[in-house]
Amino acid sequence: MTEVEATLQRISGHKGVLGCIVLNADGIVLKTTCDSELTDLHASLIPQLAAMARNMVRELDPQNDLEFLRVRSHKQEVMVAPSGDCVLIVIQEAKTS
Amino acid sequence: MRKSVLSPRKEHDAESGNRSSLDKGPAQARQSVRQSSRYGGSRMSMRPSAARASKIGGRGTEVGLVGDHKVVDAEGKDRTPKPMLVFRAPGPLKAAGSVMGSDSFQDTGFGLGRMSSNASSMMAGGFGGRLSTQQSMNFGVPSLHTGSPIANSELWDFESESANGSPRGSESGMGSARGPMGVIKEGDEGGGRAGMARPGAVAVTPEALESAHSVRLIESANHWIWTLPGSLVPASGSDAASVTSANVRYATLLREREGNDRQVHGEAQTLNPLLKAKETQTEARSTSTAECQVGNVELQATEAENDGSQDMLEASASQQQRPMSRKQQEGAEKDDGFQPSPDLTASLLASSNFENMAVLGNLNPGSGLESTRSSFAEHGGLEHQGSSASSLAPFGLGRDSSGMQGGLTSAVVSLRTTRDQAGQTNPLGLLPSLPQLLAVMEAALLQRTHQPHFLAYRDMHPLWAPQPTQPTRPQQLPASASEEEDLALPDSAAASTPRDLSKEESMSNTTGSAQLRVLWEWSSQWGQDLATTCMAWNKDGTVQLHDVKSRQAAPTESSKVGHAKHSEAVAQVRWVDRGPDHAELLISISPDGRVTSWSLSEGLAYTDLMKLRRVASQQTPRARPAQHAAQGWAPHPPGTGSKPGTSGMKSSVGSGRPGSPVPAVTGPNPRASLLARPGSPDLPMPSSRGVAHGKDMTRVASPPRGPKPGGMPGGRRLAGMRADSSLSRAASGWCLAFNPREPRTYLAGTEEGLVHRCSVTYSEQYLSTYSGHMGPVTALQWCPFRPSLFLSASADWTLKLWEEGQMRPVLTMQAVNEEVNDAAWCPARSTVLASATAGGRLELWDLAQSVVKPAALYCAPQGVRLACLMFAQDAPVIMAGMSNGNVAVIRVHDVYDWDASSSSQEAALKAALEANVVKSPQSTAGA
Repeated sequence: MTEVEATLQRISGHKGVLGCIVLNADGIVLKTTCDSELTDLHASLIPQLAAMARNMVRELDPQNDLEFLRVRSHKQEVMVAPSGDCVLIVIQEAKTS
Repeated sequence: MRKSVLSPRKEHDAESGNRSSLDKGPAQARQSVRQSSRYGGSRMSMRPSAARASKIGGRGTEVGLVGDHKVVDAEGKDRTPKPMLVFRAPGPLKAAGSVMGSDSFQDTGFGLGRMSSNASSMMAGGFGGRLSTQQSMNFGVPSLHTGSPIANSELWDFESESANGSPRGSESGMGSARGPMGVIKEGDEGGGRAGMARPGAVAVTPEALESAHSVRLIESANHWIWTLPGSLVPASGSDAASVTSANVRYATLLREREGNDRQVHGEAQTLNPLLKAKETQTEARSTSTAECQVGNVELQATEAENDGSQDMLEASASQQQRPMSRKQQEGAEKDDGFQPSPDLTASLLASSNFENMAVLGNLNPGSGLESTRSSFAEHGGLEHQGSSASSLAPFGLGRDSSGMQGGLTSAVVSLRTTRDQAGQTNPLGLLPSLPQLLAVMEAALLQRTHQPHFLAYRDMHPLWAPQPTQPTRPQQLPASASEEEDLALPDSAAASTPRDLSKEESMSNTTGSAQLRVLWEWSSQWGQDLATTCMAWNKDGTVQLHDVKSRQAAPTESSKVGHAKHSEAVAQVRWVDRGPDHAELLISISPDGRVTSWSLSEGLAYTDLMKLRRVASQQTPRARPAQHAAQGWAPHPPGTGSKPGTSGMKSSVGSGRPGSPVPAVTGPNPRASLLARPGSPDLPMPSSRGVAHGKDMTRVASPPRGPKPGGMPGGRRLAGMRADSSLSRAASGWCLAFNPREPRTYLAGTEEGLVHRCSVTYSEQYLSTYSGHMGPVTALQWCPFRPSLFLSASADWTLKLWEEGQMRPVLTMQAVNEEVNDAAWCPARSTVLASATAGGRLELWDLAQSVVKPAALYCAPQGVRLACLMFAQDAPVIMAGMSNGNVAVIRVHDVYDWDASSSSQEAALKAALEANVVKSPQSTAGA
C-alpha cells in the first residue's frame, strides 16, 4: 500500500502534473490530488470516454483491450489508465519545460 | 366366301420380294405362322382352307384382323387395323393364279385397305380416293383384287404390274413407307372397300384346293416420296465437268459480288411478334422479422464466462448471499430504486437470461464502466438497466444471481458494493490493478516529460513544443557527484543513474563537416566514492566492483585486502574479452607499477601480470618544448642537462625549463582529476605523488642517466639529471590498452612517456617499447580498423599514432598547448578520433581532412576540464567527463558511418595516413 501511495505522490509531484485522480469502477472518487470541482468534472466525463474508447478497441479486435488513453488539448493533457476495477486519471500541462 | 386375309405386317419391306408373309418380324411371326398354318404352311402356296377362310372371313369381313385383337374407338367404330393383305378369291380367272402373299403384294394390292399407322393418316385422306380408283382400277385386273377383304383364298396373279405399276407403285410406295401396321383408314377405306366391286365370287372347289398354285411375287416399283440428293458428285462421273464449271461460276460470282453494280443489297424487315408479359399470382409466404443486437464483445465475454460457469448455474439460482465478484460490482448500476427480493431476481435471471442477453445494448461486460455510465445504453430507462443485465448476462449464467439483472438488483448490488468498500480502511487497497496502472502512468509521464530529449537524440522535432532556441543551464544536483572516470565496462555506456536530465544547448562551433552538439549532461549520484564507475577505485588503490543493475552503493567486490590492492590509485581498469571460451579478464594498472589481473573466482583474486620498470630513455635530445600555461604537465624535456627536468612535474612557473628546480606539483593533476572529487585535496596523484614525487624527485634529482643502483635496466638518462637513485624501480603505469585481436599482449603507458608492449604471460621484460612522448601517456587505444596501429595521448599536448613495430610514431597531432587527458578512436569511422584536453576542449580529429587542426571542437564551460571521453558504440554520441562532475553527452553529426565496410574503412585510413605521413616531418619512411 505504501508503495501505491508513494507512487501516487511521486506522480502528483511530477513536473507539470495538475492533478491525479483515482476512481473506482462506479465512478466514485477514491483519491484525488486536485481541487474538488476539477475532480468532479473529470470524474464525470472521463470514464465515459474511456468506455467508448475501450469499446472501439474491442470492436476492432475482441481479443484486444484498452490500456491507455491520452487526450491532448492546447492547455492540458489528460492521461487515463482504465482497468477493470478502477480508473486512474492524470492531468498534466501540455507544454513541457 | 370370305377371303382369307393375310394380316400384313408393316415390317415387310417393299423391296423384299420374298415371301414376306413369312418374313415377318418376331412380333408377327406368330401371326405369320398362324397364317401360314392357316394356309397349310406352304410358302409358296396358300391354300386357304375354306374353314379357316370362313372363319377368318367371318371374323372380320368388314373388320380387319390384327390377330385376334380388335380396336374399337369411342364411338364404337371399329378401328382395328386391317391387314394389308387381303386375299380374295382370284376369281374364275385361272387356277394358276398366284397368290400374292408378299408384302408388296399386299402393299400394292391391298394396301388400300390397310394402311400403316404412320403414313396412313396422311395417306388415308389422300389415297383414299385414289385407292378407290385403284381399287376400281385394280378391279379391272382380274387377277388383282384389292380392297375389300374378301374371303378369297384364291391365288392371285399379279400380272398386270405395269398397269398397276403406278398406282400399285403408289400403293406400294405407300405401303413401303409404312411403318408398323396400325391405323386403318377411316371410313374412306370402308367406303372404298365398300365401293369396291367385288369380283365375282370364286367357287372354291376341292380341285382348286388340291391343285398346285403358284405364286409369283413381283416387286413393285419404288416410289420415292422424298429424296435428299447428295452434294458430292463423283469426279469421274458424267456430271463432274458440269458441276465443276458450275462451282467455278458460283465462286466467281461470290467474289465479284462486292462492289459489283449488278449486285443489289436489299433489306427486309421481319415481323417480331409482340411479347406479352403475363403475370401470375402466387400465395405470399408469411414472414416475420426478429432482431437482436449482439456485439463481438458480448460474444467473447459470453464464451469466456460460459467456460467456467456452466456448473454454477444451478447453484446461482438458489444462492443469494454469495459474495459478489468484481464483475458483479462492475455491473452494478447506480441505482434505480428497485429493491426486489433476490429470489425474484434469481428466477428472473434463470428464465429470462437468454432472451434478454442479446436483445439489449451492446455494452461491454468486461468493463464496469459502461454499465455504470449510461453513455452507451441510450436505449431508455429499462434498457439502461437491462444493459447492465446484458453485460452481466454472460456472467449471469454462472454468477450470483443477486448480482444479475442489473436493473432489478442494481441497488442491492450497489449497496453491497459500497458496504464492502466502506468496510475497508483504505479504498485504494481494494484495487488490485492500481499499482500497475500507476506504473503505466508514471512511465507515460516520464516519457512525456522527456520526449523532447528523446526526439532530439534522434534528430526529430517535437510536434507541439516551441522550437528550442534558448539554452538552459543544466541543473545540477546539490550533492554533486565527483567526476566520472572513463568507463571501463564493455557493455554499459554510463554507470550512473540519471536523476535529472537537463538540456543544454550546443556551444560548439562547427568546423568542417563534423559537428558536435551537446545534448544533455548528467549529474550522477554516484559520487560517494571517489570514483564513480562500476569499477570503483579509491585513492588507496582498491579495486571495487559495482554492480550497476543492483544500484547499490556498496561495491560487490572489493580488493581492500592487504597486498592485493594497489599501493597507488588505480589508474585504469580494463575488461579484456578473451573470447567466448574464457572469462573476461579484469586488468588494472596503477602508478605503483603493477599491472594486475583480477579474477572473480573467489572474491577478488589478483595476479600481477607485470611490474613496470623504468627503462632507460632512448629519446634523442630534442628541443625543449615551449612552456605552457599554468596547468598541465610540462612536457618532458629530453636530455636537458643536469637540471632536474620537470619530467612529469607540474610547474606553474616556467616549468619545463631545464634546470629549474623541481617545483612542487601544484595545481590539479590531470590524472588526479580523474580520480578525485573536486575540492578535495589532490589525490592519488598527490599522494602517490608523494611517492611518485619521490620517484620523480629521485629521478629528477639523480640524473637518470646515472647508473642506478641495483642495476636497473637502462635507467633513464636525462642529460643533466643527477644520478638516479630511485627509491623504486617501478615506473608508474597510467594507461592500458589491449588489442582486441591479440589478447596476449597489451600496451602499458607510463608516466615516463613510454609505451611498453608487454606480454600477459611473460612478465619479466617488455616486448617492445615505444618512446616518443615527452610526458606521461594518458591514454592508449588500438585502432579498431587497423590492427597494427594505436593511438597514444599524452600530457605533452600531443596525440601520437604508432605503428606496431616502428619505434617512432607515425603521426603526431597537436592542436593547442593543453595536455591531452584522453583520446579515443571513433568506432564507426576509421579516420576519426577524438581527444579531450585539460583545457576543456573536446577535439574531433579527422585524419582524412587534416592532421594539423581538428575537424570539430567542443569547448567546455570556462574552467572545466575534460577528464575523459568515450565514443558510444552504436549511437553517434560522445560522452565526456568533466571536472565539475558532469558528463556531457555530445551528439556527433556526419561522422559516424556505419554503412562503410571494414575494408573501405581500412582503405580510407590507409590513404589518410599515407597522405599525411609523408608530410609529417617526424615520420620515418614508410607508413
